[in-house]
Amino acid sequence: MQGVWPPYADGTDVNAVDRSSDGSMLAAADDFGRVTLRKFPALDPEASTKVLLGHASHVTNVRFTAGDRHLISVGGADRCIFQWRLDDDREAAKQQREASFAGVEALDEDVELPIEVYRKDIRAAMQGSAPLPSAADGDEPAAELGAALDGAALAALTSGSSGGISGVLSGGARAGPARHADSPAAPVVVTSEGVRARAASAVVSMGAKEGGAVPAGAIAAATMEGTKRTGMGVIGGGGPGGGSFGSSPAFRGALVPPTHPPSAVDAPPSAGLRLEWAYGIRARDARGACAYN
Amino acid sequence: MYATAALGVVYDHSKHTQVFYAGHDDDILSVAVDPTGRFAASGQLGYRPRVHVWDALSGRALCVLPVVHRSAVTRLSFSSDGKSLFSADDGEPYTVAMYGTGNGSWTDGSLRAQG
Repeated sequence: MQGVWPPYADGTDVNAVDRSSDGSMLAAADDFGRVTLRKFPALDPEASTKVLLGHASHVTNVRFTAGDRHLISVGGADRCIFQWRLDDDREAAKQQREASFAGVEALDEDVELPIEVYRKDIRAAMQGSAPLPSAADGDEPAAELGAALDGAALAALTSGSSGGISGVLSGGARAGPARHADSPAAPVVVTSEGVRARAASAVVSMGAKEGGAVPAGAIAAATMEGTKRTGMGVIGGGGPGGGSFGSSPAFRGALVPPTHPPSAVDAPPSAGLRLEWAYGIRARDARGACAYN
Repeated sequence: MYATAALGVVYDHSKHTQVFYAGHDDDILSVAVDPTGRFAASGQLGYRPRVHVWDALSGRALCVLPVVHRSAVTRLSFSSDGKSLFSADDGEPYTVAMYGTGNGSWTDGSLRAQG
């Protein structure tokens, strides 16, 4: 997914993304204990983002609930499930945030507020990498691309739905992955022009980032995005040189920049978010983490 | 009151509500409540972890105490009058610290002794 990568990301840092069912927001879970929320489409890495803190280690998955009233995030080593409530009333969220920290004159600079809006510049990080694959090379038949995509997409979907605690969230409401898994023989063929453009856009961006070796995972992710409902974060799987998803030079000729790229949205998402419930307690190794009052 | 991940959580059983404190930046390993139940303290993992004191009723931060420990703060305890707080860590050199509040509201918490 374009635009969700922080400047220090190495391609494996974003563990999951999910788009709200109205298509207006994108949530991402990363290895730095953060859940980020931004407007969709998330094209511009500089677009303002809401960062939700609370997790203490990598966040393995994030999902909107049906109807977009809540966001669920699950932690890795911290073994927690957080339930965030989305309030469209921005004012209410702001007041709640201010109330939480009123009276604190000078918190140390290394203490972060639970929700902050920030901007990051990853352009510098992307500079100096390989040039974008040229559109003139795009002579690969779409069917071949689809056939080649099939294995990677299937692997991504499979790994997504069997990923331990993340698997808990991937069942049920989302029919997309299951549909693909039911028909493994059918290649994931990118049919509509618009979808192809989007897939190519994401791949091109990954290609630039990884120095030309396009991870198949990125294509799988882009394809899933294009085929409407998605959710599972397979995007991080690529890694430098393709990682476990492998990479195929056959893709590179098929890459073209989007003909009509959607315009980037440079505003923070309008929805306020507050932590409504935290499931879990640290009882594994900390005996002093509980008290009665 | 308990801790999960980097969150301090105060659970009200009668109302089934949770109040959160999210000022920490790593796992919380220890919490303590003063005898009145008003002030909560929490200590975290990390290389130079700090102890935070916050309002157990609202989750509002009151103060972040100075760095003393070099490894995770594993134990915290208030004195019986609620005006002092003690912390201990889990690594060499094992350190204990005593903090105090002059005005009794912990907005002015400061280090009193360490060793």
